[in-house]
Amino acid sequence: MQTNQMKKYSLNEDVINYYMKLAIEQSKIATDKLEVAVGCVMVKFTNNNQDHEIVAQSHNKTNQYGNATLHCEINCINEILDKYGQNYDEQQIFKQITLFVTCEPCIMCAYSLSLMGIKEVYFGCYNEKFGGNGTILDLNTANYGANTYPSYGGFLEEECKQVLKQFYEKGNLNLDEDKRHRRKKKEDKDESVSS
Amino acid sequence: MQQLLPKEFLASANIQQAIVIEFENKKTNVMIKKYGNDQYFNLKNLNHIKRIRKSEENPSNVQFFLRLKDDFNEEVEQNIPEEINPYSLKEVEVAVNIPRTKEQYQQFNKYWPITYKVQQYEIVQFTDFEQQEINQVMRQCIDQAKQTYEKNNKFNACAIYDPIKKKILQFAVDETCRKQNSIKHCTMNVMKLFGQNYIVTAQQKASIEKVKDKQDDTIEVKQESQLNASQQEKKQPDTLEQEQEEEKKDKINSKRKSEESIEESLSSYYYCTGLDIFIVQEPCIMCSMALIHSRVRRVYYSLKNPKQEQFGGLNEDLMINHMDSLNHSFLVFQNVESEYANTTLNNLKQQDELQK
Repeated sequence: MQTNQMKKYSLNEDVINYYMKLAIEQSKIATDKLEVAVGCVMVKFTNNNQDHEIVAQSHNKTNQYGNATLHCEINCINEILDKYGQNYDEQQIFKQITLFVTCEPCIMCAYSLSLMGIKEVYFGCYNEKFGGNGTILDLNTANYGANTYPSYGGFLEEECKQVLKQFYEKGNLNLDEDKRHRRKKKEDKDESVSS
Repeated sequence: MQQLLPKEFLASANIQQAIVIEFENKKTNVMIKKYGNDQYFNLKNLNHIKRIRKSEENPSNVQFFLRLKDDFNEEVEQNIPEEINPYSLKEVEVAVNIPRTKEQYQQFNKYWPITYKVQQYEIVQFTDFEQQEINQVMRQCIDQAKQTYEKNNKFNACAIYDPIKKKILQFAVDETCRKQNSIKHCTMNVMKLFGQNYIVTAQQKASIEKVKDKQDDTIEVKQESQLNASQQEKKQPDTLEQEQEEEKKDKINSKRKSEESIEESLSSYYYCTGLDIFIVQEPCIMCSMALIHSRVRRVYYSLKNPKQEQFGGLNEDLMINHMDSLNHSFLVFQNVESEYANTTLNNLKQQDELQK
């Protein structure tokens, strides 16, 4: 992880921050939909990083489809392959694609990115529970039978954390009361009584 | 079938040298009171070690565990009170890793005596009936895997199984080739289908409740209007009335049925909590983590992942299901019906070669 940060990343910092902000916007959309607040943008860089365009952007959709594997990275990969997978080889597609995500990819996503052979990953805050790009496992650098890729963390870290914090303070409102770790606050009821 | 356990469960004794003192049996109580504190008896990670044992050479003597030889330096040696005869210091061998199974305990206990607590980790004993059931489900998965292999996909399929209802809820097969998407592993597919078919999301719940309310209203309105109509047309033939009554009954019945179905779907699953999953080949790292995200109860797989092809996430090397930082863990059983799986796979490969 530290060695990753020591290396120079290939992109201009303004470009990174621009796309990180777009990813944060996606994570805010997720919060509004009561989904876990993580968002990402996949960008195609061509012409020696001079030209860039967004190929896919997404946020977590686990609650919407009742599928715990629908993290934003997985959604983007599926979206891209649904579009171009029939005509191009997936390794060729992802060789040009860089991922910007607000939170370090979890072990599942990190390995799926490695299977795809993604070009680079830039992420905001570190994921101390599931992080697969250096925190718990280093799937991006260690050889686990798939491609390796450079991954850099800590971009707009505070902003990314803030969105997640706001979400977790509320708790996962989509869950039934008995499955929630954080009970719904009683303040609402108390206020109505007092008023 | 074999349950896959964390590494410590299979470890052999890690033997280190330790320093003990020997004294007469009578002095035991006095010595423990005086010297049984941490200053001499070093408890660091060695809670499973017993303090005292009978001397093997001299039955009237006992040996008192001081500390590991690595921790025993001159400073400690100088601080030993004169009361203890320094010549009675001895070196012994002790197994420093904690025994997790009875076999390990019996093996480790041969060195310095240790205690053994039955582990919180559950070791499952299956009855013949349960084993048969598990084998049957796995056989069905293997048959599905055979079908998908014939369509140029990987030889892999999986099933989500409800152990209480004893029912397979969802099958899915590997689709990496057909869909040109190498994350369409069977585990990812099964989670997608299961979510579609069995999980009622919050939005759906809300809409179902709305529909339910609407249904109630409309049926009441219709009944009222029918009543009004019948009152207005007092002179109606009996047959018509009977028909109307039957219609009403049908409607009430259908309403009840729809309510039942709604209730059934409302009592839905929370991802895969409490459910088991059967997979022909060991899940890769991505799929192992997907299973953790989905909170499955147990994983049964048949064939170990060959490392050259793809890295498995559940075998002895990685054991993603036992990582401390993760918020969920499950039990893993490997080699379920592995003979059947191996023979079908080998047959398929032979057929391929013949065709070439």
